[in-house]
Amino acid sequence: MIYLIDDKKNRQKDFGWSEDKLAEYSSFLTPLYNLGDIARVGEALYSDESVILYHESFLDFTPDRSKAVDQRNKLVERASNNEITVAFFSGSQSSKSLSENAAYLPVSVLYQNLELFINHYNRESVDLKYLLFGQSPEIEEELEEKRAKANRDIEDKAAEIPGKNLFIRPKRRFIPDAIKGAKEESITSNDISDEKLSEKINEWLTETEFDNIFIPLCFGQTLSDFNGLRLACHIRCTSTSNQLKNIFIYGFVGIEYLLENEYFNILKTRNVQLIEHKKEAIQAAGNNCHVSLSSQDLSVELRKLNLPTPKNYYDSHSIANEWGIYQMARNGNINVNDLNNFDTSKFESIYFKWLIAKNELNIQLPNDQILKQKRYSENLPGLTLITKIDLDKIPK
Amino acid sequence: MKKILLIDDMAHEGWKSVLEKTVVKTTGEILTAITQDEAEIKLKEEFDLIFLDVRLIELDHFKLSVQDMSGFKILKKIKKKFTNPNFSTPVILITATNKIWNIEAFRQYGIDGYYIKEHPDHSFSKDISRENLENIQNKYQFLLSEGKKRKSIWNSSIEFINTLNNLNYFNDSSNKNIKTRISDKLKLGYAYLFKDVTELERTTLNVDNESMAFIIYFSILEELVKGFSKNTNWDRTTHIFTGNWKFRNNREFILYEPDMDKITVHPYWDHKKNRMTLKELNSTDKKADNYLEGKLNLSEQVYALLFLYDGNQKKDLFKRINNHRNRVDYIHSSVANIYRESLIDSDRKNRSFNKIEECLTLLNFIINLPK
Repeated sequence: MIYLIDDKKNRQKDFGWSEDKLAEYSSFLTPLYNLGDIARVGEALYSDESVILYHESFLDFTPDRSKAVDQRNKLVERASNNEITVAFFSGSQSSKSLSENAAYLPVSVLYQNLELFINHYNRESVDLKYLLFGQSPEIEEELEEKRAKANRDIEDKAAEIPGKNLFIRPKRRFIPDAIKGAKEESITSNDISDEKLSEKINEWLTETEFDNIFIPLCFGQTLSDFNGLRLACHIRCTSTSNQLKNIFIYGFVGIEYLLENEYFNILKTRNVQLIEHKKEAIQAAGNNCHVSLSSQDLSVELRKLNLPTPKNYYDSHSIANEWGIYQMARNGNINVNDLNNFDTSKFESIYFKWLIAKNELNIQLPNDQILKQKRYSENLPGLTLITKIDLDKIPK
Repeated sequence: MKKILLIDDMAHEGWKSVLEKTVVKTTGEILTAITQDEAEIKLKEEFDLIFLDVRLIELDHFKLSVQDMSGFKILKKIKKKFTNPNFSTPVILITATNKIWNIEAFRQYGIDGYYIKEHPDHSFSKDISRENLENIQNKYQFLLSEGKKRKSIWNSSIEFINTLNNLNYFNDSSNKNIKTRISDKLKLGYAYLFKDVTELERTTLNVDNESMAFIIYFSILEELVKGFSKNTNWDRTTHIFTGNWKFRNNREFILYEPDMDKITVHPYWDHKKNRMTLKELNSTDKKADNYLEGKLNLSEQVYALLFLYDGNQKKDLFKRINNHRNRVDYIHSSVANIYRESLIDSDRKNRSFNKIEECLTLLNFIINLPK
């Protein structure tokens, strides 16, 4: 039996898994929505033939949170001992990973591939690849082969490109000596979360101004995530001195592999280009003339991205809360970092960064608005600020 | 410092802080309730303003009707009874809904304003975001002073109702109706006084709710005087005046002696001489019928009550209120007013609120008179 442990019933419906559809597959799939449902299944949940699909934030915003966390820890422990087959899914997860009997994947991928997974499910063997990669369970092997061939065929001579170039490469199996005189940075499998990518961008792209930035299409544990597209989005949506620079994404597959990717549209924006995994292609791209992107163009270009609302925002921790707080603070000329108990790490997610960049909210408020906010404070009854004491002017 | 309650499941994840820093600032302290149960416990205390979220639990996201959501249920409880501690407390709704009919449903139950949490899908422009904040700031600023006015009137009304409920004068079977009428008039007056007036009503139709409310509050004196009067003054079934008016402290006001054809009115308020006198008349006199039928001006009744219970200490207060009543003459206009005075008068309108406060002071004074 496949046990689907997810408290977000509404979200299931959004993904096309209505009660009727769940009932249709009830011989193979049992949805569990709360601890009571889980208790009713009992030890059968952990039987050899079970597959558990577990929402990582199950009951997180309810009084049952601690019990749910205990349950999750138990699952992780049993999975690491190879006792059960489990797939953890989440709305905030942006990439996939698989190690034998445990998988991590985005919620959208889970529900998209669930029907196919059920159709391939049998009691003797469980192949989580169908859940992660849908119709192409062998995609990872295929991409591995393509990468190996591309690396075998790589030219010896480094590409020559004038100006300052940044070449970002995976930690392993990369193009050696790619661009003459370029600054090189490597990205590991652990650097794929939005938070980590933001960290890397701030580390690499804040101080030095580059003319061209080359990034790999595939990095991280799962090549078919095509994380390079997401990294390109991050670069465009992060306020650095390199935000508007040329971005070349080098990869060993054609555009036909990328059409379904959530971040595909970054390739439709100006000065972001997919190029071949070859030094020749890198050199040609870097030497082509590109009309510079201006900050005025950026907002228009970013509108082409059209990122959907992350699926972990359909419930009590709704996106309207975070965005509403952000907008209220910004319009009141308050830095969100000065708010108490407000988790600003969310603003490292590509979705928020995109919203802020697209709506040009990174720039300072107009003076009249700042003045109006100041007047509002002064006109409120109660304590008023008469004067400020400048401690520096007091003789020591 | 104002005492403010924020009812929101996300209160401690940013909302409290952002409201403190952008809207409330130095004017108050925000307390929080993150569940319906916690809100209901906290709402036993009085607050100066409430920020109310619509959805407090996961289940609220599945509900099709706004009436079933936690925020709506809390609002309905707050406003269910006039005597509830936060009945007069201004409520600002914090909602992610963009459905006007949902907000309208909350308006039907007495919210005073709303802030729409911006959803990225509905972020149309920077100007709209800016206006969104400025609207809640303006509303907050307005409600600080409006809330104070409401609280003042509501407190006086509740004080009056509580005394009324404990008073034997109004708990016998014949006077229970009087008690209900007074209570209803207090609510009606409050409703008119704090009713939102549209621009159309204000500018084109010259609506003056303060004065309308004043008349309602003033008219409570009618019931109050009757409650203080012996019910034997009127026939139990026909309610026709018997010719004698005695207050419940056994002091006589009107005495009719048929054998001597003499009507004695004491005290009688002599407007011209501006003092209390004794008036004697016989049945052929011009105004005799009024006294024989008990059809007295309300002012005469009130002066008598004040005199016979208290020696008329508050006559000047009543006189001021009565003078205002004579100027707000939507009904019972004097001929002189009809010829001389305009019906709408902005100066009079501005004074009506103070006169309502004075009227409630007088009502509370009377209800607390030693019996």
